[in-house]
Amino acid sequence: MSDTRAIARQILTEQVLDATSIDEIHVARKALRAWIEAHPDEREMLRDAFEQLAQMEEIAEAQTVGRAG
Amino acid sequence: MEPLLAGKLFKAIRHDPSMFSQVFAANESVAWPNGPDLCPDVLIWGGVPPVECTATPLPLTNNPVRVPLWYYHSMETDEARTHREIGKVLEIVCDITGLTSNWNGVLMLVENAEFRGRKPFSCSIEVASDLVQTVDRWPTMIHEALHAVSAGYSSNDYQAFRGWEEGVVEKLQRLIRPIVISRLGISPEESIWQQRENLHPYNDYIDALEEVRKALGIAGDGDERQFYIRLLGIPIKDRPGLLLGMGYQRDKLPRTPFVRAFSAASAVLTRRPF
Repeated sequence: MSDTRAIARQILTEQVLDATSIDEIHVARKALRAWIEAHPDEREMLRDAFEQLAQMEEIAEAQTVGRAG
Repeated sequence: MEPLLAGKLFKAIRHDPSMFSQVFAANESVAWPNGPDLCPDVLIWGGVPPVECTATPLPLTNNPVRVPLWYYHSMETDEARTHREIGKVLEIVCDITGLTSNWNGVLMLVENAEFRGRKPFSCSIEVASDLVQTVDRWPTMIHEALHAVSAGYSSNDYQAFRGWEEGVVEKLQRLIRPIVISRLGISPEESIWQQRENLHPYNDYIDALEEVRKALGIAGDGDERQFYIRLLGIPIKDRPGLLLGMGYQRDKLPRTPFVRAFSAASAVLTRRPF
């Protein structure tokens, strides 16, 4: 596995773990899907990243509804 | 159940044990290769269903048809089986950690889920439906069960200190998994999960927590497990304070390396630049 790929994966992981707003979460999820499509051998290893995105999305959506209400 | 296998259709099944043993669950009842099957009503009523719709089925204990346990398990839906399995995993997790579950008993199998599992803040548990037939479900169930016993699992704390939750839960999942698996009486190879964990997205969190644990001079094995159980047992927002306090209370601990390790870890775990 190349260093470039490892660095790119680390950047992607940071993007996923840092995402808090709805926009950031959507962008991170898109990036994660694109990565997995390009590297299907890593799907099972990275799948749990979707967990935190789903959690953060639940929080962000609740806050959006709260602000709107 | 011989009386229920009357007639020409069941003749071979009735007389040939090897044919009888080819039975399988189908359409909420049992069937055999090449067509013979039993009407579900026959199993429920122990014969022909009564004419009166107010009648109640015989209690299972008195039912003349001795339906074996495997039959009921084979008839379970994925949801019912997964629910039972999560309940069992949770029971073991509570026993190991000494913590109380806040799972509300609701399990949802999510079709086409991108995640493996998650625990919404409503205290239900969601599991990807494609996972429940695979051996991959066990680490996910243990992970979600640990969220279920995590103290103060709230959206506010999770948002601000998510690494302190996901890192602790995932590390503890890996530490207690062999015990849980053993108590469940199943024996999959640990290596199939370990390989997947090499690139796990929460490894950054785990590495950060491990740096602090080592800086505190807490050894591996049982002490390591207790370290993470202790963290899981207090509200997420109080976890950084607990470790900081432990660092300052240890007389012989070199202060500077600990503070460095804690500060660097804290930045990773709270997702704030150091």
